[in-house]
Amino acid sequence: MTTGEVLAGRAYRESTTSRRLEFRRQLGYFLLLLPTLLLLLVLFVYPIVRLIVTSVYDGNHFTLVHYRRIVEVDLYLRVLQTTFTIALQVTLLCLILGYPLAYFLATLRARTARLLMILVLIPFWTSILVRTYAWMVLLQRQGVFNRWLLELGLIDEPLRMMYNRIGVLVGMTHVLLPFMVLPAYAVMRGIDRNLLRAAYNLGASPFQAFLRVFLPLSLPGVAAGSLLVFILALGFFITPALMGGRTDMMIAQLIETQIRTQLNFPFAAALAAVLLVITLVIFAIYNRLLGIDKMFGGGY
Amino acid sequence: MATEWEQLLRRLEREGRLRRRQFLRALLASSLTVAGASGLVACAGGQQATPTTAPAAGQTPAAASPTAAAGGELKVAGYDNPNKWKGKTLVFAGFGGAMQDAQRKAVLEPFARLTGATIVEDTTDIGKLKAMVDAGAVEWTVAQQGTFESRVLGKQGYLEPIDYSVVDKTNFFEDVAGEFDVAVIYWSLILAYRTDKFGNNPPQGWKDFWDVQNFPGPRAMDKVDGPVGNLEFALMADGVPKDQVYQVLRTAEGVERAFKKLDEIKPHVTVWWEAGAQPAQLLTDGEVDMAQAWNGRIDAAQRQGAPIAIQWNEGLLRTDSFIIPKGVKEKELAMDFINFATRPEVQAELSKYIPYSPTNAKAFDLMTEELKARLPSAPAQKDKQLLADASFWLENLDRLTEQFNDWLTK
Amino acid sequence: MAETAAPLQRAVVATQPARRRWSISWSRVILGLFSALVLLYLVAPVAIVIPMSFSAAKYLSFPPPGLSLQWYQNFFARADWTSATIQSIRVAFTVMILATVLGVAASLALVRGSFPGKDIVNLIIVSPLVVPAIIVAIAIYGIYVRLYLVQTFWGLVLAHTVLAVPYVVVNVSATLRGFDIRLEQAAQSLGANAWQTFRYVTLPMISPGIFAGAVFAFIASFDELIVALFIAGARGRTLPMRMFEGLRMEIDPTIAAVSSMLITFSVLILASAEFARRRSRGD
Repeated sequence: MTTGEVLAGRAYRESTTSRRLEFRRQLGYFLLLLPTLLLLLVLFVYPIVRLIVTSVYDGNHFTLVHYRRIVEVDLYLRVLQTTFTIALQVTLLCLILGYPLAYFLATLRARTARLLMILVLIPFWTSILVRTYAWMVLLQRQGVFNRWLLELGLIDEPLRMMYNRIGVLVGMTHVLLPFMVLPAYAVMRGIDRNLLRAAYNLGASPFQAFLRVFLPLSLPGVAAGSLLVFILALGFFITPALMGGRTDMMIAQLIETQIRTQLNFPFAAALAAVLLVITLVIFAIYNRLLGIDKMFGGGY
Repeated sequence: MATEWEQLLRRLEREGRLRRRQFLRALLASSLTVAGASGLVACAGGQQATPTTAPAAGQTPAAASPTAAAGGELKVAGYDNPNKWKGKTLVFAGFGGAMQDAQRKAVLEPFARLTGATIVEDTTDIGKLKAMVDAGAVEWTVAQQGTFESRVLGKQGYLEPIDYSVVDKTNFFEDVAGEFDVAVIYWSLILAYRTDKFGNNPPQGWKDFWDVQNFPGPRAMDKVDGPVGNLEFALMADGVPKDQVYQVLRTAEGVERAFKKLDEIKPHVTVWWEAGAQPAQLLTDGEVDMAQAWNGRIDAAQRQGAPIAIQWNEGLLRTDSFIIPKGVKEKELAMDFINFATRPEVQAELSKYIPYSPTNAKAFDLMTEELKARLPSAPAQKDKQLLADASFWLENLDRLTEQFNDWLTK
Repeated sequence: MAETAAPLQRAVVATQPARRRWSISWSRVILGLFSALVLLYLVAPVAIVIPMSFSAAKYLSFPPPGLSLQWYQNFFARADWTSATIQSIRVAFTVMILATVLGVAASLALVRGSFPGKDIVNLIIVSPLVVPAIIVAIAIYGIYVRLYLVQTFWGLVLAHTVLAVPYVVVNVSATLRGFDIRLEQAAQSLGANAWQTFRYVTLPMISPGIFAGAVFAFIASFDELIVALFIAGARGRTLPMRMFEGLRMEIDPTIAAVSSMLITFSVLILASAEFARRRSRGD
């Protein structure tokens, strides 16, 4: 069908769409959403809110003592800061490594790309414990990489690639990279290649065509991938605890300790609430800034 | 145009339907199997804390396996009525892994055989214990936890008090019989080192661990236990005799002194470990030459031939406890089980499988000298070490963990 | 901007001879090399894990001091390992289907619909990813006890579905946003009903996103430890629960064998699905 027909169809549809029809359409959408919404309200929002209430209500009266502790003791704000820094670094690394890979996969024939995608999924199937052990074998002072580098004469002293921030980033990026590559690839796959051809025909260099046409169109995938990686990174603690240095402590670990060792549920709930609120605020700003809804595919 | 579209759709449907139907049928079939099987689980699960005897993972067969006791079946004085708890079920929540494997052979299976009780195994989790008591739906009869955690739980009202008219504490070591918990094993946070690095001059204690001039080499320290151990070791490295450590730690100056001493070693620690398996691995691989470590894992590595030794001097002796969640249905059964688990015969048997050591002093009468030499609470080792002070940590754990983490991440 | 220009550009392009789409250029070579390196990074630990799973040593060690099948034997000989694996696959598979169906429906509503409170619903849907698992576990457990869902298959499935739905929604929404809504409108104007439009226009376009979401949903359940620890109970033990047992003291090398088998099976299943698909299409 030609563009003319598409436009004609649209005009036809718009002219007959009454308010009532539109209302029914929106009601239909809402019904599609309803099961998920109910599930989350009953099994997530309600229980979490109930738990978080214990952080401000000690059974008899309202209290902010736990939140005061978070603000007043350096440790908690520092660990929160470390957590967000690490999450940001991991997100950037995933972006730097994942975007070109997704782009490359999207330029291949679909079936070749799907076969290579199997490799991208491999980190998922190794238990975190063996995976961490494997990194130990590869990265530590007397590990495989250091031995190679020493033999090749590229370094004189073993590099410290583990038990510090590098170890954290290597370990976390490895597990989180698929969360960047898959959504980015999914969106890139859907981009109409003719648009690029059109850009070439209009005199754009491949780089310009990429920058002005492909990149903006791939943004929803990148945005989704970055969001997943960032949020998931915030909740990590086993990998940083095993592969990081003493300063690489993340907030989820403190929450865990509060519950498992100190048995202080209200304080743990307060820490979780702070993490949740900060993250949701970032998410809201991010959504607003990128304005994904308005920029792309906005049919309304 | 519209009819064209419809035709296209019909054609697509004709072509696609068969395969789609097959796919859907396969999908339905598989999810029905899933649902059917889960229906069974759901029915069984409905009864919650009274698990059935349905065979499944985590189920201990009532009959002891032939390998259960080396050299004949274990006999335990006072347990000679095989129908004592017939028809009753005990849900035991342990730490899993090698420890629970050993407990299965030395404690769970003999108990089932000697009393007729059915035993179901689960994995312990302190958060879950609290949540189940809060919800009034206790799933476990007896659970294992660290003694500190157990005492905090007891203080917070989550545990049943121990009935010492059932649990015989006559031969227990000091501080084993708690109000809400009974310590069942000792384990130890010790100094471990590579034998090939220090030759005839091995480190003798924490003073040497801190001495980077005379004992050079990378070190690993424990961060998973936070301040527990690290503060005691720092004070001993600073010259405080081991019997005065907690006295000093109870003062603000003492805590400050410990952290000051920790500052000295901080730059020389290459790895702060988080998992119990790490220090043995790091020592075996030669990543570090000296480490704080849990004795059990070092023992296993030694038996694999790793050139590692344990320095028992100034080690920190700690315990794990058995506890009974508040509101448990089978309280008498739980008490009897704890009594059983602390009998000398049972504890001596357990130590054969895993180098965690008895809390009942009489158990050592039933052991070989070779075994005694590997156990942290055997007299020769016990005298060299410091017994962790549960009451001190119960009061100060929260505050000092915060301070320690603050120090660590700075 | 791209939105209004697209059909026109397409029309223009159609009238001109197509240029070679991806000319071999140095930038493409560099891109390929870079991608190969990234793939190598993703796969590298496997080169350690698989040899290690055949180790004759009693704990994780590399290089293996000798070869043995002991950890595979251990896995198959012990009902607790095999039943935990089967349980995890059952749970994760069911979660994947539920979460994908729910998530795709919710994504359509969130991207195509416009109703009050959409922003809030967006926040609610991503928040299960943010709250630490231990907090979710404790919170859900309290509710589950009252609903008699503790220690049930469906209890675990529902809890994992809560955690898995966000992955589907994020992925599917992204692909939905990326594609041209006028294709749907065109189909409808040509007489297709809502279902037909979805089935023959929307679904094929967003299938890479659905695939990504479904994979993540499967993994979210398959790898999940803490919520399972609270809800599954001894008889419904999952693979991560079995793997993390006794972790306080030691790592059981059986997990290296499990990881190797999972890698092999996932590669085999995905690859054979790919080849089957090729054959059925006749290309």
